[in-house]
Amino acid sequence: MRKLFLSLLILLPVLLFAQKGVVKGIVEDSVHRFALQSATVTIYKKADSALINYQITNNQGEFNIGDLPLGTLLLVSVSYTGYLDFSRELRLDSLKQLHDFKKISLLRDTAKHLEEVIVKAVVPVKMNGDTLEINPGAFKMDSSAVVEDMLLRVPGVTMWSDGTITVNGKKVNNVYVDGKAFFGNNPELATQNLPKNAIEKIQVYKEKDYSKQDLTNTDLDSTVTMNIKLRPDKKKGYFGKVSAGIGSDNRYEGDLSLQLYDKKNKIGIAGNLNNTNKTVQSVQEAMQNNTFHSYNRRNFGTPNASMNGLNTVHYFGAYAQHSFNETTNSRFDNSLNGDYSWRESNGNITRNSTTIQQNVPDVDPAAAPFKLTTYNNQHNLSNTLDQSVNTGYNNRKRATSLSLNASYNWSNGNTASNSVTHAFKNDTTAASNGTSSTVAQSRSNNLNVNGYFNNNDYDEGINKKSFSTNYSISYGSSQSDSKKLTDFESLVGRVYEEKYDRKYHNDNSNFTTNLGLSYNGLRSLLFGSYNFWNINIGLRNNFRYNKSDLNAIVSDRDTLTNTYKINDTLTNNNSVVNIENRPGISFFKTVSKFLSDRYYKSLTARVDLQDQIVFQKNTSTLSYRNIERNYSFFTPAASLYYSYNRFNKYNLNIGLNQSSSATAPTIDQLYPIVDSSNKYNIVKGNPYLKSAFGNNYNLSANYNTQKFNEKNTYTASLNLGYSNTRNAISDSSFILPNGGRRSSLINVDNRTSYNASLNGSASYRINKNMIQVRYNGGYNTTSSYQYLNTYKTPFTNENINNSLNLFYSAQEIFNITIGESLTNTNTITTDTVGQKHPLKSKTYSTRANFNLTVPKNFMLSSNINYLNNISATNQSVKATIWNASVTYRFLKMKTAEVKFSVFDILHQNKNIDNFANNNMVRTTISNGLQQFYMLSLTYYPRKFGGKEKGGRRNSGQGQGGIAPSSAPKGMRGMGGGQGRFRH
Amino acid sequence: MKKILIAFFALWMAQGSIAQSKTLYIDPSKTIGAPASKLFDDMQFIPLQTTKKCIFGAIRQLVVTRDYFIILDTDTNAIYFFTKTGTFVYKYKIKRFRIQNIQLDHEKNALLIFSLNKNYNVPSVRIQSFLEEDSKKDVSKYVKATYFFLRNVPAAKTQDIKDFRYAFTNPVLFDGNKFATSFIKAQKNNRDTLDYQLKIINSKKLLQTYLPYNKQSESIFYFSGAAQCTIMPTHSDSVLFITRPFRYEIYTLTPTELKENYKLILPIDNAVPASFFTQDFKSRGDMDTYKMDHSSYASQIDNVIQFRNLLFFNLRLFNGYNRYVFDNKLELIYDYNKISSDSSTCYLPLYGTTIKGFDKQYIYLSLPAKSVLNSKAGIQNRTPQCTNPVLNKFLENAREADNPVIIQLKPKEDL
Repeated sequence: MRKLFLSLLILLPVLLFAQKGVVKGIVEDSVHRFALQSATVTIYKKADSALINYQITNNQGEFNIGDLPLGTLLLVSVSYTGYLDFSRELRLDSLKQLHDFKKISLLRDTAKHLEEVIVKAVVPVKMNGDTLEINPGAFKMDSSAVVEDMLLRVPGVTMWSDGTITVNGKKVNNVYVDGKAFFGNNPELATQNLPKNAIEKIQVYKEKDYSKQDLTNTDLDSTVTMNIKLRPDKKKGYFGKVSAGIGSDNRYEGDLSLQLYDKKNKIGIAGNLNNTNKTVQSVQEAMQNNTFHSYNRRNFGTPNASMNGLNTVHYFGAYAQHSFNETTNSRFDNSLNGDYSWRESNGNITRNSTTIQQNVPDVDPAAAPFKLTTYNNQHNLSNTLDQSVNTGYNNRKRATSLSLNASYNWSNGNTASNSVTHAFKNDTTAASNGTSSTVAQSRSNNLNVNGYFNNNDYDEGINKKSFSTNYSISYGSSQSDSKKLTDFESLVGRVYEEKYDRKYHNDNSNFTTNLGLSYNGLRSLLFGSYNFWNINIGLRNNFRYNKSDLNAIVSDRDTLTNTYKINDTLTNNNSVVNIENRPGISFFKTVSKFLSDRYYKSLTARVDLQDQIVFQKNTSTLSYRNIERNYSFFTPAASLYYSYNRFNKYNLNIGLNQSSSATAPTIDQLYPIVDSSNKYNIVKGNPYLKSAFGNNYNLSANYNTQKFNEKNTYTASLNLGYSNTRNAISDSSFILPNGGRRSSLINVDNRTSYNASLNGSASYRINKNMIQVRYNGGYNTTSSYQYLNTYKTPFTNENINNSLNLFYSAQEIFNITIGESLTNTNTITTDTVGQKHPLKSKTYSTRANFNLTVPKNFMLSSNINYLNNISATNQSVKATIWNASVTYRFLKMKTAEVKFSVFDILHQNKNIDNFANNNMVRTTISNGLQQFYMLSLTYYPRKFGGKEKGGRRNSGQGQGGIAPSSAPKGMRGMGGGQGRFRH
Repeated sequence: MKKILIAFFALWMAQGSIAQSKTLYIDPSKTIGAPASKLFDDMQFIPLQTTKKCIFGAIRQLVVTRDYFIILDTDTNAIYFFTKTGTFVYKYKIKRFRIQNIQLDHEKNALLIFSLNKNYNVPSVRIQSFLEEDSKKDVSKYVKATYFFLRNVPAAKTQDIKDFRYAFTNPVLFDGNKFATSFIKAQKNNRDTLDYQLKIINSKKLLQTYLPYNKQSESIFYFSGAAQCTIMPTHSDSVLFITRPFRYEIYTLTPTELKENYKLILPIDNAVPASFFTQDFKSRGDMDTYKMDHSSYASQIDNVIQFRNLLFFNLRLFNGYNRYVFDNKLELIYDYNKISSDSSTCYLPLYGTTIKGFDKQYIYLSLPAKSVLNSKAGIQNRTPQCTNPVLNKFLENAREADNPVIIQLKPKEDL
């Protein structure tokens, strides 16, 4: 099957190449005979006025347009502001593939209406100063097309299959509508909902990212913004979705979303009911799942095949935003926003896991080491109701920004779980059995207030008034009641049975406040106009106070009296205070070299000298937990960053950084309250634990092509990391032959980790077809040791991922994604005589996903995921999860939809997960959604602007025109050229 | 002889000024173009030698002498001397200083160089205090004015003008040993109110002042680098062209007077309204917002060059740049960006280029090597074919990373 898909993908582009024709000529002024630069030459198909190709004349007024079909009657149109249009019909054929117009003389339009500056040219893409402008009027598309459909056709714009947008190789960081975020920060809310016909133009420009704390005043501070400008008559409107689906196996789905906007306000509501494992966490996600776009490449809002268990979600959310001004400039914001979420979810999960612990030395030195295999079956039922209210006020001017946010959330939850464990020694000897069942109820309330204020005083470089502050205060309380029944039966060594029937009541409260200050004007303050060899100096301080109170009442059932009695060892009142202060000073310097029209390169070096001062105080009714400790750590960091931009060719960035951090042991690591009801894992503390101190080193490099209007884009990135932790916290465990584990935490000399990742992607545009190839590879390894039954046992954990994805699309007619991935999860332990014992598991996954929108208004979609998991015991578990759907859109503007879908056609869905840690590997198989059929009906209410007066006739070309305005100042270089800022 | 020439030039200028200043109506959206052959007679293509030692970014300033092309490149912070055929002669840098401006002192046969110390960022408020009449502060560690004598360039003989505080403002040589300069900065808490947009000085003191402004209340001048007068040399050392920020007049400055020569009238969409001058700008952010919201307003005229009957000038907008040529004889305004390259200019891509320098016969433009090479097919495939041997050789041998080239154009005699 895999081979078939790959062959199909390779064959498709072959069909795209065929003989093509060329039209060329020079456009000039008929009277003064000067060449007309930037005149638009557009070729249409005469029969249906479909845009075939276009070109802007060069500095000499020349054009040369290829890729034209032979044997088709074409209409060549030349237009230029202030001149009468020129048009001519012609047909190219295999005998005459080239038509040379020689000179096309345009006549000045001297009619009086010229005074009104009528702009006739429909230029698909042009540079206006440093801003790239895309004109929707130049793209003839179906009247229901949305912005994303159009962007797929724009030369230089690449819509990556993961949702990223790049323009001439540069990644778009922000997508705005009229200078403002559109229903949150997800660009798809705008690009998949707004109809192409509501857009006046799309601007893409580079601007300075004032949100950065340390401005280097170089190209490194830039961010790329895409601004969708609505037509003046479309500045208000609404869109949404109402959908209901009913399926076999009692499956159902219902969606509701409605978003309204005008120049100053945005209001949205969204709701969802489903028992098909659709995840909805926030109102933004709910709105994102319900966009109008006819197909969705990333499968938003479809049943989540890889979600564990069977889940039901009932969700309702609302969103509102009000702007106090109507500015369309993205550098200015003065707005208030808020949202509310209500979410009820029920989960039903069954997990079967197999854990293998390799080569555990026996407690008895005379006995041989043994392998321990543990089978665990767990069943979990949960029910949660979460509600949250978030509000925020943002005020951003060019160089100052203020943000104030408050959120409150409260939730109630009930869970019930049962678990059965069987442990075997050396695969054959039954070692122990364990059962556990828990019923719990919990309630929580959390309030968080946070904000920041940044001031980048940019008048004459970084100076005395540049600072930023951030703060947050949060308070949370929770109560929980649970009852736990455990039964442990030891079958080898000491044979015994131990049962617990225990009740827990916990009252928690938590208060945290954080205040961060950063001041970048120290150099100006100390040295005045002397620039200290251009080294910037920043002062920062971060203060954090945290207090957690716990009141735990634990009682055990007395089998004699059949009453619950307080357990004095576990019942306690505890209060822990953590105060941390991190003062620091940073030095950074950027050296740059620029050669006009050729290259720009810069090297930034940065050193942070930082201290971490920690105070811990724990007060408890359990006297051994009353402690007070102070720690102080010096945690320096340094980095080097090199950037090389070869104009209109490529961009290369290399970064090397080092950072260090310390982690003081917590009270529960030093003096834990040991609950011995879970015999499979009893953890004791260690009052002599030292703080772990980590040093991290990272090298990253990325490369991407940056060519103006280039059809192909390439990117590559490499990341290498090394970290070493001194006094890392590990454990010394006694693993009993019955599978029981008793651990004490200890410090080990060091723990070493390496990681590497390599990512590459290429995008090719061939006529109207797009091919994208992506490779992601990753390798992680951690080495350290622990003590098992007093023997030092070194181990290495490894994780290796490789995935390759191919994406092909023939505009909006057809697209297919094929992906193959291989994940290896290994652990290697070394025994007492130095012999290595590897445990390896791996998962192969082959995915394919296609959407076909032929015949018109129909769409056939299908996705298949073939999984093969080979566990450490060499057992193979295979599953093919195949889903398919057929959709039909009808009514005017395709606002209604009927859909029939089948989930898990082969009835094989399951979820497999491998996990390696220390000397063990675990494979977990969970239940998932099983086969069902569903029929759903959807209506998309949509209206943009007031009543159109014949506007629909103009839905294709000829709309929009070119408004002679440009993007905000201070932004440069989308043309792939010289991207330096001037202020 | 020189004095006679100056007198003759001043008389010619004065002739114009006896009559009232000329009013030019320009609507940027409706200007016409012309083929290059209509305005220019002769084109010379002059590549500048590229070596490992001599590779620079772009021509920031070009000074043309009898023997040399002298180029200031701010990318590499150096001055490059080339022969008139483009052969590299000498590269000059000033240790620790960033070169801001160069100009020719005919009398001394020297290049006058103004440069700022790289190790200091002197804010404009501080510069203003240094320029006060009563300031005693020694500014030599911040700014330098250096004469580079041209008699023997490789010998690099230099001489500094000591403690020349106006060097901060890049003053322009005028009438022998004088300078014309402009430093406009308003601040609410200035100790006095009156200041002048244009000043005539010598190396020691203030000699004349023109164009008063209120340095406490004119908020359009509050911010650093907000605006200055543009002072442009002419063919005569005793005559300068002056333009003012946010105003559309072109003045001539002679030793005796400042006279308005041309006045541009722009459409409402392009001219700053009267309310702009009374607007209370409270911060640079306010000013930037205004500029963004009115990006098509013109902020100043610059690069004014008079060549017989042709007047070249640029109109700087809040966002953008327009370039024009006024034909005094035919009273026609051409959009310089619509002067299309033809066989007379070998179809070189001259669109968007600015005039880098001029002498008595020619104007000089510059193009990056990459632009010339990108146009190779367009140049070679046209009829009549380009016969310029230097250009043809360049097209065959040059590399994209080579130094920019100089295009020498001779405006038509009969215009």
